[in-house]
Amino acid sequence: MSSYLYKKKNLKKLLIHLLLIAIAVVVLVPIFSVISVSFSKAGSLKSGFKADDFSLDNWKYILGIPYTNALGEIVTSPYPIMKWLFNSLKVSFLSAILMLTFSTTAAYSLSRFKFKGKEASLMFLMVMQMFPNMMAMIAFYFMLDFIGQGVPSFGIDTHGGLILIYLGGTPFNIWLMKGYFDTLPKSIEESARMDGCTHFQAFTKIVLPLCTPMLAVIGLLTFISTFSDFILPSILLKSQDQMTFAVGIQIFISESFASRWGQFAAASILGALPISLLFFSIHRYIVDGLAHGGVKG
Amino acid sequence: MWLSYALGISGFFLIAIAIYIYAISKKDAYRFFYPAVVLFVLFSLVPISYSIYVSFTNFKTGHLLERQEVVDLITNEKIIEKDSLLLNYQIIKYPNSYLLIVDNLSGLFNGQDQSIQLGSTTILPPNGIPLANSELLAFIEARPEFVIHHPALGQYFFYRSDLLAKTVPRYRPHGQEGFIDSLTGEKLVEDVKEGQFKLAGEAVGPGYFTFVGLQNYKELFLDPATKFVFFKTFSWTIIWATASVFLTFSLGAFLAVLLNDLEGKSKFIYRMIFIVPYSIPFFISVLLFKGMLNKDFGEVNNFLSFFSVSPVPWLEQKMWARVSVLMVNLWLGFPYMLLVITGILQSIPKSIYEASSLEGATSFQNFRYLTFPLVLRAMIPLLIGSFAFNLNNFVGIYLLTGGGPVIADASTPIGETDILISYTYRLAFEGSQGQNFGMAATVSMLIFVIVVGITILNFKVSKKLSKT
Repeated sequence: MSSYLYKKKNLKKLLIHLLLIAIAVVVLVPIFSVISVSFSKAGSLKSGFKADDFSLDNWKYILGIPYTNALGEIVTSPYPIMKWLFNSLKVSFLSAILMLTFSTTAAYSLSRFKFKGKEASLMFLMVMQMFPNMMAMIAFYFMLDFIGQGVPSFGIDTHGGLILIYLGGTPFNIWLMKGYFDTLPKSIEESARMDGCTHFQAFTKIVLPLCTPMLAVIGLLTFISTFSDFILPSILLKSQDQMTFAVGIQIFISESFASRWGQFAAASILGALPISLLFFSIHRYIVDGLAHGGVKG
Repeated sequence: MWLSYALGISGFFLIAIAIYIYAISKKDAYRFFYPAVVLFVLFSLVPISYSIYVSFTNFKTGHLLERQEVVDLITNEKIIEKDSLLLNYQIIKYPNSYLLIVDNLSGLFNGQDQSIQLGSTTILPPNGIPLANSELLAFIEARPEFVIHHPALGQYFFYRSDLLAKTVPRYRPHGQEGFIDSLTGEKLVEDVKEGQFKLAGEAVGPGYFTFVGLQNYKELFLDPATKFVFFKTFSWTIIWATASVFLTFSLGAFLAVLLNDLEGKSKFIYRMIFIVPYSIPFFISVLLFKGMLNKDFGEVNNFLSFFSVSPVPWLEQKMWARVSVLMVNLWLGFPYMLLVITGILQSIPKSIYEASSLEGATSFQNFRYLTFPLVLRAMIPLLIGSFAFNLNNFVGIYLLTGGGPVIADASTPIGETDILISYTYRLAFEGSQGQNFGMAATVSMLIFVIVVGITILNFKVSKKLSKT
């Protein structure tokens, strides 16, 4: 009897593992297939996993290294792909830092002070955040055009302008951060205030150092979401040198996708890898954040 | 117009309030809060107010100009006076001046002059260069009002790069802001409602954008063709969002429960594998699937061909396209649910299971009566949030199918997988019949109402749950 139960339990365990492995295969096969395509010969479509098909051409193309193609010509990519990646990293990094700066002070104020209109402004921020951004794109365009006439480095087709528009998304972070400040006991600044610190000193010297990990997580999440955005930059950035990665690689989709498939695969991996690594480095904290109200998804 | 007013007014108030907060009131609460308010007002509120404003206007192709610009265009339209002569001319450029030569007459002028008197100059200054045709065009375009006084024929204007003509405005001002066509003597009628000048029912010049009240909203709900497209897209949007949430939640919950019962390292490894799709930027995964699902060279059909399955039109045919967007979204979205539900499962105290096992409950009963209700209760706000997210999941649709396949008999360009937000995008940015910003803004407003409704519901449900 007990051996029958034992067998049944083992069988069940085996079935569960088989099922999980099957799902894991479905999850991983697209990723492996993209990796294998990126290492196959440029232009060979039905590639599969043949060893003689192995080639670094797609990667050389993406990284801007000249290579010799099947016809014996020396090919160099006409697209500044590494520059796009750099642009993306730059814009995302600066947006994340600035957004953190503005949202921490606001969130701190909402968490620590009682003031008139606090509840209402919180609610208002939340609701307005839901407005579909699509139409605002036109407004953004005109606004940057307007600003650019006075301050050219914040006009259309500049990274400054793009970052400026991203900063409008600050309120979303305020919510996440306020939740975290709420969990910190008030007593920690109160004693500092007793010793004669101003509120601002208490905030920068005592509170901020305590929330470094949380700041890092929110900063990285902002970084990731800015990196992934393509609608806004595709409307605001015109010249090829200014493009972000997400906008630039659309070129591979729009013109003869089939023959560029390998190059696109390599470009995708190049773009996805840093973000994926970042994500795994902070995923524990994200899980906690998710349980408190949805971060991405 | 609206934008400059909105920016100006809000800029004024923002500065005034800033002075009050930082110099006069010195209240810490506001000093900490204010910088975010400035950003919010300038880069969220002003654009939103602009969208709302546009939804009440006819801002679209053919009505992109402001009224004054249209009036200027009409005022500047010139015709050649009846029975007048056309004159050939040449311009010779000197270091500091220009020489205009018409037949045996000529006149010197400098860059700022707005008129010139032709006379019979006999001595031509040396070292001049004739202006080439290409330069001439720009030169005369910059001088629409430049008057050339001909001693015998009267006033002439630049007409073409080789001709001077006696031009007169086609439309003579008449009364307050009115015009009369000097060719026919008829009055130009301004259709204020439509934003268009008309002559005997025919449009004259481009239209201007104007406030049209609820016209866009009426069209959306009452015009049969537009209504058809809107409600078709609306119903698919709801199906899409519901199915996406249901599928990702089901798979995520199923895997979370399975993984939760496992022991040791395998649990950790599986979990890491399953959250890989979540770690890849959304747009990259969607574009990669677009390639893999390509009918002719995609890996998926390639793989299926081993089993002699004929190529499936994954993105080209209505049913398959809908299945594809949902499946890709499942692949992308289930890890989020898995992560969240895992968190919830770990927070359920083990003791309740011990109690139920003392009562002799099976593991299925445990799931049915304990785990599932607890998870669902904690998940409802997140499920509603995920629903709202998918309602506006532009990337998941647009980058995969582009909204296609296109519905052939629709009045505006729209596809079978288009959701409201991608419909908005089409209306605003890629209409084959021109851009219709007014209607796009109107659809945005409706989406906003729906999403806010869901959010309020979300709040109510969360509050109710936190009370019980």
